Amino acid sequence: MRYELYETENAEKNRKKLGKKDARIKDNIKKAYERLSQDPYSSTTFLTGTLRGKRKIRLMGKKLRITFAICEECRRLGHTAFNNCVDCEHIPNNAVKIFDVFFRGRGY
Amino acid sequence: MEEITEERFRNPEEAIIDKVLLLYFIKKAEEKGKIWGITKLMKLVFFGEREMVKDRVKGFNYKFYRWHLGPFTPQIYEDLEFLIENELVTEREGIETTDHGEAILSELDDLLKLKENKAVLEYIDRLVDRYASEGTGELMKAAYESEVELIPFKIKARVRDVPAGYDLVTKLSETEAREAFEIDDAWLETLDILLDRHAYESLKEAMESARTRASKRVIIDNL
Repeated sequence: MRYELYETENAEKNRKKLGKKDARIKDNIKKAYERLSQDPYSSTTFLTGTLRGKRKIRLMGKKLRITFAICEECRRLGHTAFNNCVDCEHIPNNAVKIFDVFFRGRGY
Repeated sequence: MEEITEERFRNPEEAIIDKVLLLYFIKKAEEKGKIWGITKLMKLVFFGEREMVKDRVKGFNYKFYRWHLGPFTPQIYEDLEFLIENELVTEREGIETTDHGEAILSELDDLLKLKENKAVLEYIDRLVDRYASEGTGELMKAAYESEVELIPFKIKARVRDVPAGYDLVTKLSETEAREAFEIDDAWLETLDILLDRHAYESLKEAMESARTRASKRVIIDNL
C-alpha cells in the first residue's frame, strides 16, 4: 500500500526554505518522503509526552528530522485528540501528515 | 594501565540524560541557594556523581579528573553551553533555569516520576539539601578533602593528593550499574526535540497550523 503525503503550512515552508539553501538537503527530504509514502512505520520512532501521537524520522546523520503522523494509526490508537487536525475528515486512512521538517546543524 | 575504550566516552543517550539531570540539578539547587558560577556547579555535580557511582547508580555520566581547582570536567561546560543556547538556563545573575527551562522540566514529569528515575533524582535532592547553600570556597575545600577510588588502581585517595590529570570519577557502564536512569527510544527522540529550542518552537507552530489550517497534498514527483 502506498501512502498519500500531506504537509502542514510549516512543513511546506521549511522544506522549501531548506531545499533552496542546500541541494543535498533537498534530495534527502525527497528520499525521506518517498520512504514515508512506501512504509512510514519502518525506521521511525514514536514520540511521547506532549508530542504523543506523532512519529519522527531522522536522516543525514540525524540532522534532518521530519515529524509526522500516520493517519490510520492516529485514528486506531485514538491519537486524534492529541493531533487534532482540522482537516482530519478529509484525509484518507492511507495518508501521512507531515507536521514539520527541521534541520539542525550540530548534534549533541 | 586501563585500556582507553569508547566505553569511557558518553554515548548520545548518556549525553541527553546528563543534560536533563543537569537542568533538574540547577532547578533544585536554585531553590536552596545561588549558583554563582560554574565552579560551584562543577563541585556540586561532582559530589552527586561520586555518591551515585559509589552506590553503583548510573545517573550522571561525566568524567571528572583532577585539575587545578579540584575535580573538573569540560563536559559540564559543553552541557551548560547547550542549556544556555537553548534558553533553558541563563547565566545573567548566577546560573538559574529560565521560565522555558521550568516549562520543559514540567513536561518531563512523566519521565522523572518513573520509579527508577526517582531513585536517581533522590541523590540530587539529598545533595542539594546538603551542599547547595554552601559558598564556592567551602565546596572547593570539601571537594579537595573528599575521598575517591582511583581508577584503575582501585585505591582510595583524597582529591588533594591525586596528581593533576588523573581520573577521579567516571561514568558507570550498564553492567556495572545496580540502578540506572531509564529512558526509552520514544523519550530519547522526544527530548531531542524538546531540548532544542528552535526545533520545539518550529514543531509547536506546525502543530498549531495542523489544528487551524488545512494541509496540502504532496506530489513527490513535483518536489
